[in-house]
Amino acid sequence: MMDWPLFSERYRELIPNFSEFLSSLEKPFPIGLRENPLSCLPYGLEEKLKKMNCDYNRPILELDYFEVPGPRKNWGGDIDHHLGLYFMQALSSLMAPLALALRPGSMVLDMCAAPGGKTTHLCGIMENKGTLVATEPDLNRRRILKGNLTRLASFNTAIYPFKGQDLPFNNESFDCILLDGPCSSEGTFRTDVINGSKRRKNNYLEYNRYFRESLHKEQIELIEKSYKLLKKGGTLVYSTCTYDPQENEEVVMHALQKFSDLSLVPIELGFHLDVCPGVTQYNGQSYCEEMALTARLYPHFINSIGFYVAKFIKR
Amino acid sequence: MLPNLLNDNEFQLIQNYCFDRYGIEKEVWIYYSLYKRKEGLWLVNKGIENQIDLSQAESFGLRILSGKNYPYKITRSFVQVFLKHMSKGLIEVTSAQAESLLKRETIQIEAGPNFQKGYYVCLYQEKFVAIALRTQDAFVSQVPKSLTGQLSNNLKFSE
Repeated sequence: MMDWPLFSERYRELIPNFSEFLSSLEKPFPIGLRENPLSCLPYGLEEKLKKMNCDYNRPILELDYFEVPGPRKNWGGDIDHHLGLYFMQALSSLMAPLALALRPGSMVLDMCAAPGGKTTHLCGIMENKGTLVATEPDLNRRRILKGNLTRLASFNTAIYPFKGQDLPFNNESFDCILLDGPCSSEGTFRTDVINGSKRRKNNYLEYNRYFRESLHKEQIELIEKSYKLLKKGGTLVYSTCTYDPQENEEVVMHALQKFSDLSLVPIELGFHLDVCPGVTQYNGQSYCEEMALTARLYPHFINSIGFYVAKFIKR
Repeated sequence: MLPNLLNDNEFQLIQNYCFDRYGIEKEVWIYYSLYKRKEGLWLVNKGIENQIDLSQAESFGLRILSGKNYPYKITRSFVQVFLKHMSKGLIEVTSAQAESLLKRETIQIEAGPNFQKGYYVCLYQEKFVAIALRTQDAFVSQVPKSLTGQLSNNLKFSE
């Protein structure tokens, strides 16, 4: 078994069934396809998979989401992929758009939009109605975002080339905001190892205090800006793909302490998912009891990537 | 650069073109606005300009028609949005022809005098495959090079 110094040292007490967690990081990772409800094709994804005699799995019956066998490139090179029938996405990352509980016609902001998995998911939920603002400062990532929005036929979206903190919108402009912030991406380390990716070096798996502190600072700036842009009565979802409480519960705690009209609410997805509550204590730090309303998703419970979701209402 | 919203006359021209050429009823357009921008026409939800400042947006909506002037060329996004409303400008191809089109090859189809020149939407078993340009006696694939490169080598259609 591979040595995971970062996880072993920091999260042994935090993550339940820790040895199962470690071994889950080295198990094959399922390829997930989320069906695009805006597709123009005369058949659905399940019909296609049946026609192909594909040995697929539908982990949550309430979702049009299917786990399929590899290799991954076959699904990326499929004509139906290019015609916008589906988006390849991890199950965990569906939770953030679903947690927003959007209605078609809303005014919605996706703060850190690229590469567009969650953005296109939001468009699908909105049925291309209302307005979706997607912002991404990096040119190359914006190109990928545009490509995905075009491929999945999303036409209610405007893309802005700004950092979330610098968005030129008036305060209280949006009904709903998704802040899937920049993070240390610990939850995706499983993906990297399974794909044999060279993207992350081993030493990246060690804790780098300066890197984490700069991320934390940016996350704080983004959540403060999100609060300002959110209308009264609006919903804000904060999510990351990391396990680090400094990037999760601590950011949420900061927002709750700074903005008295912001409160956490339960995440209602409309189906059962094996999630763990947010932590109320870690490394000598205490967080409020409401933190248990936030959700931690672990790979050994839902066979996907690690994820964290918190849902706020501005009263 | 400020986006350029089509005025009523220009919008009507597009509506008429799409009705004559592709059988798209004019009522379909009541939910949309069209902008002229970057050598094409972009479709967005009607009223988006009242909600946000589009002048600072890098892009918005979908480019449904490309080209500098009328008559425009339809795009894959056009098909994605309007295929369910189209009753004309469609041709059914065989599996071999579908494969050829996706390889950017020109195909021959027995076309009577009713086939006018212009852009057609090619379907295989009702499924959109490609856009093709009808010339004198052939249909020229309009599939972009970038897409051909991304498709699997073992692309096959079964009858």
